[in-house]
Amino acid sequence: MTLKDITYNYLFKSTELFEINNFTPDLNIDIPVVFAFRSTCSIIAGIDDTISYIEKYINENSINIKIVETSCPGLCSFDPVIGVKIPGRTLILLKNLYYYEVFSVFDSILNHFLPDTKFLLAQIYDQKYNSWPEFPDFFSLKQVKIQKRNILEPIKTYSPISITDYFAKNGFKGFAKVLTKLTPSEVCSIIENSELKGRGGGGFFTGKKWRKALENNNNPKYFICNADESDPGSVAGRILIETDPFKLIEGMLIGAYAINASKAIIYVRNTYKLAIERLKKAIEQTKSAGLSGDDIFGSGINLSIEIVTGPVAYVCGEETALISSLEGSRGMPKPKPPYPSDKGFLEKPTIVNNVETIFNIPSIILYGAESFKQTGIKESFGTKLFTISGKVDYPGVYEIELGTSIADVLSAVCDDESVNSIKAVHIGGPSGGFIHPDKFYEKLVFNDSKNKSNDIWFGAGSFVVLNKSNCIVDVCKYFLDFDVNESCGKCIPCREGTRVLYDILKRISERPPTNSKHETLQRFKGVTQLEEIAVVMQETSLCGLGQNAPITIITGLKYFRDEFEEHIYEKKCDAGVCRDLKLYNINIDNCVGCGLCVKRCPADAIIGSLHTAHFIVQERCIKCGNCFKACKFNAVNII
Amino acid sequence: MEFTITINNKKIKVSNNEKILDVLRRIGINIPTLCNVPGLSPTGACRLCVVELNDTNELVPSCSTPVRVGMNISTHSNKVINARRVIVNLLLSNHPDNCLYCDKRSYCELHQIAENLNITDRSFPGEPKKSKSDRSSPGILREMSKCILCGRCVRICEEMLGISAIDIVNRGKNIEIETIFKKGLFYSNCIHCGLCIKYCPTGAIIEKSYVQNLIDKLNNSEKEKVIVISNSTIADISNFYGIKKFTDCRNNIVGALKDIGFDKVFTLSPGNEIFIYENAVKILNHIKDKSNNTLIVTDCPAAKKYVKSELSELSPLLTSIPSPQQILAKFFKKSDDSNVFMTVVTPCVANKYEAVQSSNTTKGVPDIDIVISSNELLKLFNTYGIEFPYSRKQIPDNPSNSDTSAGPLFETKGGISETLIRELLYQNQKSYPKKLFEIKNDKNFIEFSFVLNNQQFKIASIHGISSLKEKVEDILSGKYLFVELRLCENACIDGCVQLRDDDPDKFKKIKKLILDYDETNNSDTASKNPFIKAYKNNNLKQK
Repeated sequence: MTLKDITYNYLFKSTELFEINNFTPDLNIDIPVVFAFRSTCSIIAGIDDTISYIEKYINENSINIKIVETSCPGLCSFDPVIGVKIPGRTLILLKNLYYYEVFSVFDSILNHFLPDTKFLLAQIYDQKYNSWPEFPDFFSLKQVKIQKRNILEPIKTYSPISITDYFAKNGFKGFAKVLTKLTPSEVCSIIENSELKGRGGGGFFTGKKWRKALENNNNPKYFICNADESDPGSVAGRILIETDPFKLIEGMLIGAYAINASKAIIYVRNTYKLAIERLKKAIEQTKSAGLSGDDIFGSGINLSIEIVTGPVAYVCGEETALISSLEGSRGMPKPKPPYPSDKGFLEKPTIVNNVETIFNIPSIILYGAESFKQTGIKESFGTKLFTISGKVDYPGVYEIELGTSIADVLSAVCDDESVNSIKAVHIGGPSGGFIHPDKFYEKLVFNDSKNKSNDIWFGAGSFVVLNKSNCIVDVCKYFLDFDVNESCGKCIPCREGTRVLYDILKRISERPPTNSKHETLQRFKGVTQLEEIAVVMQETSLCGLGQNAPITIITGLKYFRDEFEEHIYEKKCDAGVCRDLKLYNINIDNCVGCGLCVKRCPADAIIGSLHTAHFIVQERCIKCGNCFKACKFNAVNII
Repeated sequence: MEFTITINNKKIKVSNNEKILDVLRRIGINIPTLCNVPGLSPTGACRLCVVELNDTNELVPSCSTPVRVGMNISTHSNKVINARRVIVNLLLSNHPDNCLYCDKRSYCELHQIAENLNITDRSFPGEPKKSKSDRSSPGILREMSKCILCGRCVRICEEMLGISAIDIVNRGKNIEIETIFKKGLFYSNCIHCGLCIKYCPTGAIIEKSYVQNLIDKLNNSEKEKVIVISNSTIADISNFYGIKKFTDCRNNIVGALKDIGFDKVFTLSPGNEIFIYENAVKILNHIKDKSNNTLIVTDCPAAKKYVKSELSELSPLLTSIPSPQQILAKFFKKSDDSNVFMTVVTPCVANKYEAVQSSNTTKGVPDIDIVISSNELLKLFNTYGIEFPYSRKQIPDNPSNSDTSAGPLFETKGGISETLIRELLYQNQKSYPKKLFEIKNDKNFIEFSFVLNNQQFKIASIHGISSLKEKVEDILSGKYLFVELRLCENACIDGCVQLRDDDPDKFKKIKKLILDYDETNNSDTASKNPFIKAYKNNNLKQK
């Protein structure tokens, strides 16, 4: 039986999968199964070495073990995560299993002993199997409980690149439904009713956009998936593609059908090697299963999917810039209107949707708009992926139900003591802003960019937690540096505005070389200029990059103005990050000339002979603070 | 569909799909722009043209936003002016301060806008930009430190010409406008048409100036100093000073140049006439041979380079007659070690490029020693304190003293066709109509027809690359006897380095001057010039 026949019988004759192909999920077989949760993040953590040691272990002991390569559960602090399922017992998840621990850990597990507790993450309870003693359930972990995994699976125990495995999870049923029962207009209505909003940052209603493209009769039309995720601090799209490439393809096929497009294009950042590799395999299988190509299962509908890799440019995530890049020209935004749904790729109606938006489509189609509206709160239904990083104990990609408060999220990703030291949360990457602890009760909901009720702006969903050791001025400087280098340079407010904002921040985070009146005045003017430029940039920039770039500054000034003023007036950085503000010198009266500071100084900046007062050469000083820490006589002062 | 919108509390009738900026320009409201070029698609890059929508208090760029029913716009509200001020301040924060040494001076659009917004101080911190200049081209100088990255030059080169010799490279703060591999214009596929000079709002792209070299040579050279002035330049100067008659201005200029120190002053007309005559001979032979090809007649060096490099299938059709300047150069410099120092004044940058081509040099030295533009000629006059109308009038030297009106007419739009048909008919039957029968007159495409030996011929006059591209098929199929090809949309009289003037209709006035001259003149085809008669009799063949 060919793959095409299996697909036909499964999708259109509703035959059960196991009847067709003796399909057995990997959990039910009688030899031990090892699940390697392999994604880019776990590859960095060293899962490839772990896997090769497991293979070595299997070879040396000549036992029969099946290794299944699947995708990461998104809990990055536990990488590399390895799952072991031995016949008759529940699946056990091992965390931080580096290659040099493989042999001992496997020795004990295969003999039904638990390994050292530092490797134990959780087990997945199942009444059919014996559970391991005194060992938590995966779903009772607080990092898992806070999540509502609708579009990602909580833990994926099958291969991401096998279409039959995807079938087993109701895969392509949504597309089959669309193909056999729904007209394009009905598909658009379902999406409109679900009130699904774009997950890429804009938050525009997906259904409305599709309807507009459907009503335009200028053929051919194009359906584009925006997988050019370039926000620093956001990897949600990558995790999604690596975990479930077929779901993306299914969503795109539905979308293309809904607007009568015959071509779907995935524009993916070319550094996402694993994601591209898995997508290519998935597209290949979809084609051989007959789900894409000409005249799909006799329906007369032609849909083709292709991958285009983009250069690593932040601005190419903006839809008009993405389209220019696809057309082969320089990735620069164009003024809207005309919107891409009227005039996009090759001047034809085009829909550009984010990866995460498309991932929501198959289940909405299969289970209906109302089931989608069960999660989330009014005007913000569904879930959103956040890449949580920074000063947290459990960083990773979390799928959070919209309407959850920030405080709840923080208590799940931090241990108790670190929650209290949180100074701010920065959501949305370069286009987002700071949230003050006073606002942590606020719910994570979509905000209209034009009349914002609060400062939450998702952007691509990066969620960076900052504590006392982070300087707000420095964080602003970091994001502006990113904008200065990533601005496409087309419109003046963005190109010159980010540069001037960065220059002002740089000036206030450095000690003025002289204390002339002019320089002091320039520093004072800094804060008012920051606001002046930020407002004009927001109002006049051509695309989202420039319009949202100053939000970090605006919210920073709103909540942490004292910190800016401290930098300007007192030339002090409390967090100790802006080292250029400090000036170390030695108080001659206190210095006994012990020479300890000379030994500690990495820059040879301290001179002086033993038992006489020492002196710091300012030109050489790198402001590391070692001398200050070393001095036992309080002789080193910070000015 | 027509409806009304409110602009500054006034009801204005607009039609659907019109852009706000076009409406504002139409009703006479002045909005500053730096990136907008009429005729090209709006890019929305400079954001200076923002206007406020009163219902949402939003700022929208007027160049790219179409009008909507019920729009209520303020063009100069406090918010709008403040935004414009900040944007210009941002631009100026790293703009070089050396306006005193900038060629653009008061013609700089950035300078004018900053002045109109009352900006007197560098308000934001920033170091003046430092970038390399591109001095490789003999005609075009790119000083990129003055570039404000409005992208006009890039869009003109791409959209208007389809050449893309320059493009934007890098991103963010490293963004630059560069040629291929940053080698410089001379080594790129640039055709040196100079349109980028015309449209650059600042002094970033300017013509390379040779006036000072010329003045040095005037005082130091022992050679016989000869200057040739194109008729477009004469007409432009007479329009600039409001001199009503073409010949008056010509004689004024001749007098002034003689006073400055030139030994001989000529107009370009003899060159034009030889060019017309030679082409006419070629075309008559072409008709005799009963060949079906369409010939391409052009004196435009930029168009020649474009055809040779981009449309090579057309290049065998070019009549290989050198341009009028080069004809004269070869005529004046008969021997290799000639004792002539030759200067040419043209409205065109491409002529500066043409002069250094290897075919136009002798032992590595250009036949034309210096090419200056009309604009530079005015500078020369200003240096010597010459005002027009100049007191001393003189007629140009022989052979320019016996000019026909075909010479000036040649340099107008459609002039090659018109003068060439006259000449063809004159050579064939000694009679011709003064006005030609136009079949079609699109903006940059004119089609003529005429009868020669009872045979109907069609001729096309093509201006600009876009209309050339449309007609490539027609040319290859041999539909026309010959086509006239020039790169500037209004031909040489509206060349890129004519005198700087804000008047968009200047070329019409110049054309009228020349047409008036042509109407009143009976000696109006090349062969009526005794010089051409002599040339015909082989007495004056070039080397």
